[in-house]
Amino acid sequence: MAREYIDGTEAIVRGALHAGCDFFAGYPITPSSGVLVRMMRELPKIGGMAVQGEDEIASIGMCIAASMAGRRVLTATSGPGISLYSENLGLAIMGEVPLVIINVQRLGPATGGATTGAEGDVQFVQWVTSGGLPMVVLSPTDVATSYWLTTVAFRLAEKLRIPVILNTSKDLVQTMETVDVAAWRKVAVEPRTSYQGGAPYVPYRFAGLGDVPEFLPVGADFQVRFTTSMHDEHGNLTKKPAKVDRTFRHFQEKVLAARDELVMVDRDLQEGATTLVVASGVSARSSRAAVGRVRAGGGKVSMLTVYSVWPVPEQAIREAAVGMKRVVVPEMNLGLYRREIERLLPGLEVVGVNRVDGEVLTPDEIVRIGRLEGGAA
Amino acid sequence: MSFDVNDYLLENSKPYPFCPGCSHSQVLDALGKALPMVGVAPNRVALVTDIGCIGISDKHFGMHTFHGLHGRSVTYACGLKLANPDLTVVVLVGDGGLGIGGHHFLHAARRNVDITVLVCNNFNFGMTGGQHSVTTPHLALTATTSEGNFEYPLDIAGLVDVAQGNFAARVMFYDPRLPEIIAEAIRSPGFSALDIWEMCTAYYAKRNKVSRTVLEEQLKERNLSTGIVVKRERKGYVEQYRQSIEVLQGKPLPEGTPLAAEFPRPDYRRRSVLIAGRAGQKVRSTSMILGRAGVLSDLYVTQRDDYPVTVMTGHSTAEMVFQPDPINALTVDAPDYVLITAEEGRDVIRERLKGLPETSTVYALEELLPLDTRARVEPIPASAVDIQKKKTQIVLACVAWLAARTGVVSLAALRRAAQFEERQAIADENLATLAEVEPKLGGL
Repeated sequence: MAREYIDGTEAIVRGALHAGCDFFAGYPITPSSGVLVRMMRELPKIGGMAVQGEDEIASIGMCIAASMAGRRVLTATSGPGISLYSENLGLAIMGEVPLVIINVQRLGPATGGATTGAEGDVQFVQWVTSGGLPMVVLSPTDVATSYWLTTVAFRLAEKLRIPVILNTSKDLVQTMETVDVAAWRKVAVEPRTSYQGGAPYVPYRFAGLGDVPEFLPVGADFQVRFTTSMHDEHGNLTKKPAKVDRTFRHFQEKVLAARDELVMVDRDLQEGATTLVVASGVSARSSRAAVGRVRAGGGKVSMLTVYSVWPVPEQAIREAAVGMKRVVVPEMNLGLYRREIERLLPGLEVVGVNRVDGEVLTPDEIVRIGRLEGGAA
Repeated sequence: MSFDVNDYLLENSKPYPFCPGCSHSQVLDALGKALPMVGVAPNRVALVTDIGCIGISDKHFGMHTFHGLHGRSVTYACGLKLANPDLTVVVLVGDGGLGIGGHHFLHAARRNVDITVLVCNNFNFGMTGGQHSVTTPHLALTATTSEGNFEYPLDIAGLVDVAQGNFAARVMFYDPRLPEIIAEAIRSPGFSALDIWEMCTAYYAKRNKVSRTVLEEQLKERNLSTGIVVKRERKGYVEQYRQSIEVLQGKPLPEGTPLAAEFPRPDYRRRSVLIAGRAGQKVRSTSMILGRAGVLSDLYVTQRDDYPVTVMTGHSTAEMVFQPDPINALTVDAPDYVLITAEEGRDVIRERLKGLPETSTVYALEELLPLDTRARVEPIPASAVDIQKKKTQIVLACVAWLAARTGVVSLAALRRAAQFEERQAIADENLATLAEVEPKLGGL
């Protein structure tokens, strides 16, 4: 088996290139700068273009326009940069712009700890923009899933014409590890469904609420209108309640229509277990190690790794919790995703294992604080 | 093929939605006249707008239109131009948008991105009720400067000049040359901007005297003139970019470096190593050699690094795990082996050292002893890792010591791993270091 020794940054860059990415704009910020540096170096080789913007706002602005000109687009930043992306992420929802955003979480709030790991953006990335429409967010756990989920993010972004966030963290992008590259999962990224008719092109026409409008790039043979304001099917401003309602609900419905494709979890359920560990990101790795230790010690425990963190894979979580008495949710924040678990599983004891000091959770503390029986070191 | 004004300006979309007497109408008419002068086909033109009264203009045009966030139109214009250099990109923005997006304007001019920005400068925010903007004249009255504006106005064309943009003109909305100047701005390669002095009848003109005479007096007072005020021949961004990446085009993407299992797998279930040194000591890159040696020995390896934001100062640590199957946990409470190569590393792991059990072993340069730990401590004699040439090779020498003492990887695997460097000179230096220390490890 051809093995390599690489980090998550490398996996993300390769995933993007294999997904057909041909435009990148970004601004340096630790710990995501590696993606910027690599894309600046690699994209010109394949006829793509990469730009270092004057700030994050310019970078995502350029990405959005390039996407609407027909490019397959990536940007990368860290939490403070996502704050600056916020308004334009709303624009990407409103204008139906395919776009993949890498968020490399570091300790916050604000400048926080630039080289310090954390998972504090878990809720933030979902409700990142004004207006009340959530983002689709995927969360890798290692180098291999960083590659896989980057390709998935492009697939979903292009197919649904939405911004998709890959929410990773310092400890995943900078950690080197052995990988079996040949065994990496990837998904195909289909081209956007493009409009085949003649002029006039109606840029925001959709038959059913869950349908995605057919795409034509700005620069096509006849007029394309793009707008971030509430619009009718022609891309003209509207305040007419019936049209506004239809457009608004469409943004949600087109994502819900793909709900089956949006569920990405790893089920490692053990018969007879009454405790379930639910985790994502780098904390899922420590959790798996803790689960392995419990089982080696004769204990029983189930584990659910959540890759598609938003929308919450509610059914998968409820199903995994059947027969459980306790749920343990380890994460490098003050219990952000635990809120979702508590909401979904009333009546069960939900225990958080939390760290906010920049250190990765250790299997020992997950066993100890999560009170996982059989896991004594 | 030639085009006329109706190919760009949709006659049936009129009247314009502006307040009675607003000069935006003249600017839109002038843009409609300028585009056929340039002769570019409507489907090769993108008009970018953002928020402000002028931003609601796009429905009057038959070209591609792109309407975005307040002040960010220049960023979208740059994105469109870079993604599709065949497009002619024109921005319509107000003095409000120019202010909030000033950073983008400045850098588009500096980069000389091939776009044309028409700033419809009516000296205040019309859409939100007449607040002062970055171009409101000194002492002018606005909703937010009831005692007269104590700030001084920004000169837009002057900004283009200091940023080294190719083209800037200052022009009154009633100037009959306006269509021709817009056309020239669009034709000019690189960045172009027009500062078009306008009249906001709803707000600004209600509070301040505005007439042709007043505008021209203000011009004189500020020592400014109308017409083309910046004209240079710098290459546009698209051409500069193309030239700068020419050498990269068509080059293959890196394939990655496959590491075959060339060495027998060491006989252990798992080993964890914590290397603690100083930034600038090459802790990370040396740990990568150790990691590659693990992969070459048919092992799974993880390497989690930690260092401060600065380089060449403070600590640098690498936490590594080696085992025959895929690794979950990147960190363990008690590493089997700790290697300390500098004071900074020792100090940053002080608490962890205290918590180590007797079963762990700490290898430390002898000058860094004593240590506060229950773990077994083995000093590394300075003589054993005395690298004559460079201090930056000390970690590699110590890693060779660690490998020899613990068998986490073999010295042969380490030697092979040291060869996988992008730059041959670095590989050579690594091999020289290993050749120098290995005889001293013979007795281990």
